[in-house]
Parts: sequence; structure tokens; C-alpha cells
Amino acid sequence: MTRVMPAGAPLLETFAGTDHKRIGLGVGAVAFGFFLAGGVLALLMRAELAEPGLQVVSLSTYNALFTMHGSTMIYLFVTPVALAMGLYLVPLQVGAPNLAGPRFALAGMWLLVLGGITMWSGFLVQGGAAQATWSGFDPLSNAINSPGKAMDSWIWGVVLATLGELLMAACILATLLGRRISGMTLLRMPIFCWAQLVTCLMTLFAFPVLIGALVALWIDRQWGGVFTGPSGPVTYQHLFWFYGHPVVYVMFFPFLGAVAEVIAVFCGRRIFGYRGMVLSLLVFASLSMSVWAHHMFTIPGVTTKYFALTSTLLVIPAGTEYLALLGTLYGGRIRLTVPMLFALAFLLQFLVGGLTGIWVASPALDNQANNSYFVVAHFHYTLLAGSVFGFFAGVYYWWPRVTGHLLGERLGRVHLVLFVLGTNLAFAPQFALGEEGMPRRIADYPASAGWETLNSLSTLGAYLIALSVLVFLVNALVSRRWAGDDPWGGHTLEWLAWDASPPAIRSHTPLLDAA
Amino acid sequence: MNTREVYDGLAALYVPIAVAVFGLVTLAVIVFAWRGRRRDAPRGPDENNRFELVYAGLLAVVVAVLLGFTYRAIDRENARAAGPPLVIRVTAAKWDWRFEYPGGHVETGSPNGAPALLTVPAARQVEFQATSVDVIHGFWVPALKFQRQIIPGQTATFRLVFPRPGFTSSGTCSFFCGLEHARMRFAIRVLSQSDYDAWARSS
Repeated sequence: MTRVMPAGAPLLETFAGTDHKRIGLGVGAVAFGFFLAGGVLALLMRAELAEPGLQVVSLSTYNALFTMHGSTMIYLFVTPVALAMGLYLVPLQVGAPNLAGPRFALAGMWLLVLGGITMWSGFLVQGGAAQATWSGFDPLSNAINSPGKAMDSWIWGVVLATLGELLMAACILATLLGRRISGMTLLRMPIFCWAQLVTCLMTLFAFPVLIGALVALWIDRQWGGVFTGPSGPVTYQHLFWFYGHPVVYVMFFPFLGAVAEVIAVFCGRRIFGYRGMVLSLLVFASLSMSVWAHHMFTIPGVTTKYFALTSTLLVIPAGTEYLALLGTLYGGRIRLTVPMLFALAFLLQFLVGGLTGIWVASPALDNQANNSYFVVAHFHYTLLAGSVFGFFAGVYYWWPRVTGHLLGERLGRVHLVLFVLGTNLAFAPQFALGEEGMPRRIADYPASAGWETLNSLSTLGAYLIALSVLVFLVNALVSRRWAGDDPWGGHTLEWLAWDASPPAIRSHTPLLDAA
Repeated sequence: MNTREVYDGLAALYVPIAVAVFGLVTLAVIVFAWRGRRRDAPRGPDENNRFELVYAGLLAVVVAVLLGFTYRAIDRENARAAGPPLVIRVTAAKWDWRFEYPGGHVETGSPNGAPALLTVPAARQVEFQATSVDVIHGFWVPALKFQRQIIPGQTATFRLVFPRPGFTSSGTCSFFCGLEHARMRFAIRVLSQSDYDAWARSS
């Protein structure tokens, strides 16, 4: 391919360059911006919930806050940032000069930006942003129950962002399958690449279903006739959760892969049971396509036993992954750097989400947990205490590869301690609240329920998390310690191929093919 | 069937296993990390297929046990005792509940904000036939560890047993249903059979 970008146009290069590192950083920066924005919404919600009664926002505003918080975190932060890590690192790790189809990935980035703006523009219309939850269940989201443009902008925001994520995943998958340097067989790929590979497979199978369901919902809002009759609402839930469960693992595996890389490097050894781990990732991804209706256990007539079976079977691949990580620790020569500490915290924090996941996979137990604060606690332990801890492990680890600088160790440890305290303070009380009968998605609760103490603790925890993120931002701004080419003694090609793929080289043949 | 007993029985299996696993993994992480700090060089095999297979088999046994007890719990919840139940028809609408008793007596929330009152006899099967007139609602009695989604146009039928008089006092909508979802609660009064009969005659 010839070079189409005019030389010496840095602005154009930033916004339209097709180098995978630029695209990956761009997607990551956009997603992190939405993380901060979605976090502010969460702080407002926690302020409202600290005590009974309405003090901070109205019912309607609260409903918009949790809808936009969930939608922002899932569609605009965790999913794209998981793929951003792949866009940046996968070509480096497999020795490819660039992504396959970088213009599609670039289009994906801009679709994400467009989707985010479209979704958030709902705050500008009369009546405020969408209020039908991050899942947009029909009939609450139809033209009768959610009139107004905010719901439509939510639908198109999600569709555009999801389409962008689909394009990014397709590029990463094509790179993994078609652009590996000669000699790198599939079973020699770093575990992070395998995690990205199964992530992209799930994305390609599940995300089109969401796009279809939401376009159908929009058609239903305009002209009716789609989700009609008594089975309509259930049909929407089947379609939504067919996307909605695989996306949970899309938002998890890349970070698990990052944690595995970090643990292997700071143990100074290969990941224990690499082949078993690869197999377990593939089994996990396959099973993930057949567990969706465990979100629907409380609908009369759903085949609960089948979905309990597939969901509980996930214990086997998940347990295998824990064996691989613990097996690596056992016998490792361990360096407790900040990325390693985040990875170890991930192991224990995510475990709470995983174990409570086995709990809610049992229909008889989910009869209580479903739509209660128990579920809120559960998925925040998987997504925040799991994925975001894994994300920060990766950020601290790869920061020197991206910027050339090391993040400060001391501030990093402060960040970690505050984050661990905040996360557990925010979400552990919510298990008890759910068990006692507090439903999710409520702005207010009766004073007689006796939930004030636990809710106040949870609010305090949320503000500690915010403080920890501020510490991270300070760290990112002030840390200027030069890292050198390979500060950690990395195992994978990205530490070797320092600037081996400058933006100007756009050959389709792998750069190091002759080696 | 008493859903609370079923739930408590199953929880008594799940909770100890979860606590034990969490404790073991925490211990392993701390011990391995502590010992690994003083090591000069890594050691140990890259993989051990026999160990991994035995371990996966062990996990499969745990899964089988959990599923076996879960299936038994589902069957016990769905089991129906002999004898006719008391049938109460439930209608959910944004953002109130309507309970209709066999004699035609109806209870709803009052305009001054007091929630609808559900009156039930203790220790007897009560069959709820629930429907919604607008969006999806959720019928949830936390003390009974039980909830069901109520889909508009469908009737959800489920039987519950409230074990003793005064057992619980509150239920709520568990499925987000719009603006005043947070306020869509109902009160519960569990009476002895004789008190219930007297109430039913007088109302």
C-alpha cells in the first residue's frame, strides 16, 4: 500500500493515521474519558443513596443516571478499552507491522466516538437522557412508555459504538490469524493474544445480535409491530442477553490475559499449563454462547435447568485459569512491582465476583438475588474489581512501552491500596443489602428498612475509588522516570520490537518474516 | 412449597464451599508470593497434564454436586401439595399493585401513598396469578426468597407458603418499570387461618 498521508501533518496523523498504535491509543483515551464521565454519574447516584429520601436528584434524573452509568461503562468504556489493548499490543506481540485492515479499525474508533456523543446527547433534549436501563427492555423502551428523542439517541448511540467495536474486533482477529510472524504458531502466541482471540470470536458472534435487536426496537418505536403480543418482551430479552452474556466475557478476557502476562513476567517463568489455559479460554468462549437465559431465571417458562447446567459448567474452565495463574506463582521468582500487586489483587477481588457468579447461576438462589443489590455487587466485583484491576495491572505494565516512562511505584501503591479499600467498602455491603431485599435501580428506600448504614458505607467506598483514580491521574501526569527499552524483562515481542513498526511502514508482509 | 426453606437449604451448601475456596486461594496467593520473594531463580514444571486433568475432574465433581442439589431445589419449589390453594389475582400497573381475592374483594394502594396491602393466611398454599397491564414488573417477597417477572399479556402462576403469622411485612417490585419504580412496594399481613377467615368474611 502506498503512503496516502501527506507528510508533516501531525494533526491529520493523530485523527486519521492508520498506525495501530495510534488507533489503539485513541480508542483507549476515548474509552478512559468515558470511564471518568461514567464514574461521575456513579458518584451522583451514591450521593443520593447515602440516606433515605431524595436529597440530590429527582426520581427521573436518578433513572437517567443509572441508565447512562451502565450504558457508558459497558458500551463506551470496558468493551472498547479491552479492544484498545488488543489494537495496540496484538500486532506487536505477533510481530506484524500493523493491523490487518487498519482503516476498518480507524472507522471503528470514529464510530465509537460518534456513538458516545449520540448517546450522551440525550442529556440535552427535553426530559433528560434515556431512562430505560442499559439493557433497554421492551416494553419499557417502546414509544408509549419511553416517548421522546433521548431513547432514540440511546439506541443509535449503542448501535454505532457496537458497530465500531465489531470492526475493531474483526481487525484484531484477522491480525491474529493472518499476520503472525513466521514461526509463531498459534500455540506459541502469548496468552494475551489468545485472550484477545477468544474475545474477538465472542464479539463477532454476539454483537451483531445486539445491533439487530436495537434496530428492531427502533423500528418498533417508529411503526410498531415488532415486539408485539405477550411473547414480545421475552423475545427482546432473549435477543438482548444473547449479546449480554458473551459481552461480559468480552469485558473480562483481555484483562485476564494482561494479568497472566504480568504474573508470568514477574514470576520470571512461563505461564503454568499454557495449553490447558488456551483450551479453557476456548471452552469458556463456547459455553458463553449458551448461558444467556440465566439472566431470565425469574421469567415463568424459561428452561432453568438447562441454563443452570451451562452456567455452572463455567466453573471448570474458570477454575483451570486460576490453576494456571496460581501454578505460575508457585515456584516463581516473584517481584512485587505495582503491576504485579494489581494482578495479585485482581486474583482475589475477581474471585468474589466469580464465586457469587456460581451462586446466581443457581435458579433457586437467583430467585432472591435477581434484580437485587446482590447482583449489583456481583457484577461490580467482576467488572470493577476484576476487569478494571486487570486493566490497571496492564496499564502499569505497558505504560513504559507506550510512553517510554515508568509510572511511580509509590503513587502506584497508594492507588492500589485506596482502590482495594474503596472497592470492597463500596460493594461488599451491597451483598447484604440485596439479601435483605433492596432492589436495584431505586433512587430511594424507606427509612424503616434499616439500610442507611450499609448504604452510607457503600457511598464512602465509591468516593474512595474516585480518590484512587485521581491518584492514578496524578501519577500519570508527574511520573517522568525514563524506562529504557525493556524495564521489566518482558517475555513477549513488544519489548523486543521497540519501534520496529514506525507508522510509515505499511507493508502487508510481516516485517520480520525473514527471521 | 416453602421457598425460604429451599433457599436456606441450598445456601447452606453453596456458602461453605465458596468461603473455603476463597480462603484457600487467598492463603495460596499470600504464601506463594511471600516464598517467591526470596527465591533466586524460578523453579517448577511448565505444565503437569495429569495434575491438571485430575484437578479438572475434581471441579467437574463439584459442579455435579452443586447442580444435583440445585435441580432438587427447583423440583421442591415447583412441587405442589395436595388440596386446593387460596387463589389471589395480582395485577401490576405503573406504579401500584392490585390484589383480588376469591370473594371479589380488591386491595390497592391508597391515594395518600400507603402501599397496597396483601393479606394472606399462614402455613397454607397461596396461588398467585399475576399479570401486568403495561410494562414488565417483578413480584418479590424478600423474606420468602422468591420473585417472578410479570410480563404484560401473560399470567405468571406461582404458589407460595407464608410459614407463620406475622412472618413478613413487605414486598416490592423488583423489575425496573419506570419513573416511580422505587416507590412500587406493597405491604404484607400474614394472619392465622382463623383470623384470615374472619377478615375475609368481614371484607
